[in-house]
Amino acid sequence: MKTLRQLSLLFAIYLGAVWICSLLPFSFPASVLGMALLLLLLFTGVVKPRQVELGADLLLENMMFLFLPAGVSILEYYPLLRGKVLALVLIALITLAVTLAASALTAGAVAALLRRRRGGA
Amino acid sequence: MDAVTQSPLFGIALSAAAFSAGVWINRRVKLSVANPILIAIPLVILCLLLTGTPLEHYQRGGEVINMLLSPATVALALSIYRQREILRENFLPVLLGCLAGCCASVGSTLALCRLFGLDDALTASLLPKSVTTPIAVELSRQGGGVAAVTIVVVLFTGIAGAALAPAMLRLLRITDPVAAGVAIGTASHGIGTARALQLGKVQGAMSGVAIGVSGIITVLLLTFW
Repeated sequence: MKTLRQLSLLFAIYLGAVWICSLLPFSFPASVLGMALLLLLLFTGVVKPRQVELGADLLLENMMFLFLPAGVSILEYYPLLRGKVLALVLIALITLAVTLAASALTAGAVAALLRRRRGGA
Repeated sequence: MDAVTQSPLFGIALSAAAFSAGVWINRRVKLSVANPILIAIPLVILCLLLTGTPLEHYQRGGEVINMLLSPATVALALSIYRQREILRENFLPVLLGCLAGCCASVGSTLALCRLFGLDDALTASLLPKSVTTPIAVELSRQGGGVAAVTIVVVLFTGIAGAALAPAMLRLLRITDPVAAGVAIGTASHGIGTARALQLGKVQGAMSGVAIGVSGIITVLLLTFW
């Protein structure tokens, strides 16, 4: 019962986000707005973690399963990919290295700078 | 047979069976390549092709499962909220590390897609490739991309990141566990985070925080850019 009630709260937050997104002058993913709304409700204390955690964890723990049908529809889009698989693999690997380097070097430099300032003060 | 496969329950049952098989194999093989969904996708496709079942029949059940993805994305807020303490303690390195990583990811993907002459639909499918699947799929759809392509590329990025990130970080001489964790989470989301946890507790926690922060930054980047 508790889980059902919590799931309906999560569904309601999503539907609220759908409604807000329909009023926006630009397109914005409703589920991401819903996430931002729930984050706001949690940080302001309007919603307590225990009021959503049963339902939320049920969805989070099974998240990968929920992607299966969308993944299967790759069958339909196979013609779009024909002859481009090598390019896609190369792009994925190169951008992975670039992203990793940019993020690691920046975070490392900021952390070192903060440590030095804290040490000097 | 048509009467059976036309029921939405057929797609749901086939999905559940294939995913369970994927989890079962994953527990025995213990390799990040043996990801449950990467096993389940070809299993379902194989079943459909062997029995000659049209994809539309499968998707009647598939759509029901799909519908739950949006509230699952909303639920991500709880996992971000749970990490608020770690985020507060390392706010600047996490925020700036994620920001740099997201800009690098979107920028380099865009440049390479142009270089390889990929069309707009494929480019839109690839742009959010570093972030966690639910957010990536939403961003892909919004940009006119194909969700299925995004899912496969996001999974590939995660698995490649889990396999290669430790060696790449050694090459870059990154020893700071905070920087390593932020980088792994930003570049390869949840699958990378599982690997980061094996490197150490700090790396794992930072990687987990970076998933949420990078997701939000990438949404802002792709929506307002």
